[in-house]
Amino acid sequence: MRVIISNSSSEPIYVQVMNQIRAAIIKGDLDEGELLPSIRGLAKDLQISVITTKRAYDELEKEGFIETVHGKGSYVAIQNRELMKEKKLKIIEEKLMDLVDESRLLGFSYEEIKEMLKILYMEVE
Amino acid sequence: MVKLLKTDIKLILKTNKVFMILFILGPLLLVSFMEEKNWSKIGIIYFVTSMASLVNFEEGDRDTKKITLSLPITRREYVYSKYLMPPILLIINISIVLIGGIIFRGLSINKGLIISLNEIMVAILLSLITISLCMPLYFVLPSKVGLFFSLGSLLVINVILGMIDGIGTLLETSLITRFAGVGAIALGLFIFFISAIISAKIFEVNDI
Amino acid sequence: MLEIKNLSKRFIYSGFEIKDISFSLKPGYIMGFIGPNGSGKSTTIKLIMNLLKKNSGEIKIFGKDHIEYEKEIKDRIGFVYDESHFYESFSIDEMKSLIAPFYSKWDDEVFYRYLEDFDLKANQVIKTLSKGMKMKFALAIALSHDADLIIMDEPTSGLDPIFRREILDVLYNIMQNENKSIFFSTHITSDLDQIADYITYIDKGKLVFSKSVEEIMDTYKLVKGGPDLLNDYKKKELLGFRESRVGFEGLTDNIENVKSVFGRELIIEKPSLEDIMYYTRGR
Repeated sequence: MRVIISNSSSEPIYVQVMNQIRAAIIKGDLDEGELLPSIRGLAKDLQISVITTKRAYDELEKEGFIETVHGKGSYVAIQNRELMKEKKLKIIEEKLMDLVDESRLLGFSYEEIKEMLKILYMEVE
Repeated sequence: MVKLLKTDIKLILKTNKVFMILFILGPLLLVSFMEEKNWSKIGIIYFVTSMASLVNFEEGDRDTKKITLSLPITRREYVYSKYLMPPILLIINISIVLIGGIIFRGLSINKGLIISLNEIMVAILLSLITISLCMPLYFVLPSKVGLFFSLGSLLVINVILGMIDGIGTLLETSLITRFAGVGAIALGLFIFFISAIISAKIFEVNDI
Repeated sequence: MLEIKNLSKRFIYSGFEIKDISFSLKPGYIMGFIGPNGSGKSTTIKLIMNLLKKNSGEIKIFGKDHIEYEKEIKDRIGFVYDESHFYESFSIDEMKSLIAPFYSKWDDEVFYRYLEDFDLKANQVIKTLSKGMKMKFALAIALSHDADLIIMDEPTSGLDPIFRREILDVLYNIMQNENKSIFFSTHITSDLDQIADYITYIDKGKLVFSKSVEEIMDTYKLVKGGPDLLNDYKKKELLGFRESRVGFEGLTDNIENVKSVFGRELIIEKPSLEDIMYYTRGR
């Protein structure tokens, strides 16, 4: 697992930790059921307060990404890649709906939108 | 308490070698010169002991006291351990005087010991009283000032007593010799204990 | 583990006083005790260790009154003070043999292991040690009797940054045990910016705050902007500020309000403990 803190970033440290762990879980770098470092061990590795790592873990647990078993540690929760996929699909779907509505309103055809999408995708690459 | 005493002894042995030498050789040598005047023998014992007792103290060093008092000991134990030292020094001192007498005068039935039991008793009494008076001073002003005052008052008392020639003759009277003995020890110890309790009470409410 | 309630102490001669200090530290956490020089940090620690007598208030360590149970409490406390108060003519070993018998859980193995880790030799005379080495020695002593609470009074002042980092590493290792706590007073707040879990800030003998680092970071924000953003009315919205010809910098504990007052061009950053101390002084 790779977690790197940037002190100069304006993002609170616990958010940085959360984002990186979450990303690792989604990408699959962390397997389901895999044991995460203890909050104290992680605090020592990152040279930050255990309160910060605890907050990150607590928030991740609220989001459903990890589970903490008292006395044992924190594990990557199961079933969330499916959930994630669903969530992602939903976000894209909502955005596409907006796109469709706007283009209808402004008078763009499906072919024109398809072309634009192609160009933009390649640009971002 | 005993641990503190051991620590103090280790400390004196390590840091105060000069004192140790003086403490042992002093009475030994002085005894060899003093034969007649009762007073001197007593004086040697109680003078040396009371001065030696003050070596007990960390030169009013507030900082090492900081460490000592941060250890798992109570203020009371600290005070009592300081009070344990003088009796030990007394016993050593008297032993040295006796041994010195034997060395320099030889052991023979006629001559007897260089110092009589009565004289020993009086010496103990005077030592205990002078120490009992001066120790609390140290605890009232626990710093170099306190040490200075206790040392000072000890010297003053010793000098005054030394100047009173009459004491020598007083000791000859039956009053004192009757008084000497167990009475002296008991009185001395009683005052000693009271002094220790007072010092402990003082020290318990002091700031370091 | 450590509970201070309404602690007060007045020095008769100097008139300096500590008034009504309250805070507490749970097991498993490090508390940084910060404040400018002369704010009362050392005094508070001396009061905790019963080197000074309090005028009023309650101090409980391990749940027990710190004077009534003084001996058994101190058996479980490891302390490190700023100056080396050891006998200079003694060697490390000799000094250790004076102190070790007082602790019921003294462990020689642990002590010599720390000496090795700290690169100290048992026969070194204390006089010959540098300030940093003396401090490491004091730390070795404090850590060799299974202490549950470690109290440090300005242990890193006068030490170079490398030493300070090494000591922080040692502290991190200790904190892996969630039953121990460390109480660490310092005016070098950069040491605490990372490791501390809780910060108690004291100034002029009074408590300013005692909070977790997360709470502090949520509450306080450092704001910056160009000189045109600042005017006399807006200055009042900040806890403290510093302005120059090319801009200003300030601290706030109400970022939402400040955001609406100053507008979008405001730059918002995380403050360091030093920033917080600097901008809230004199309040």
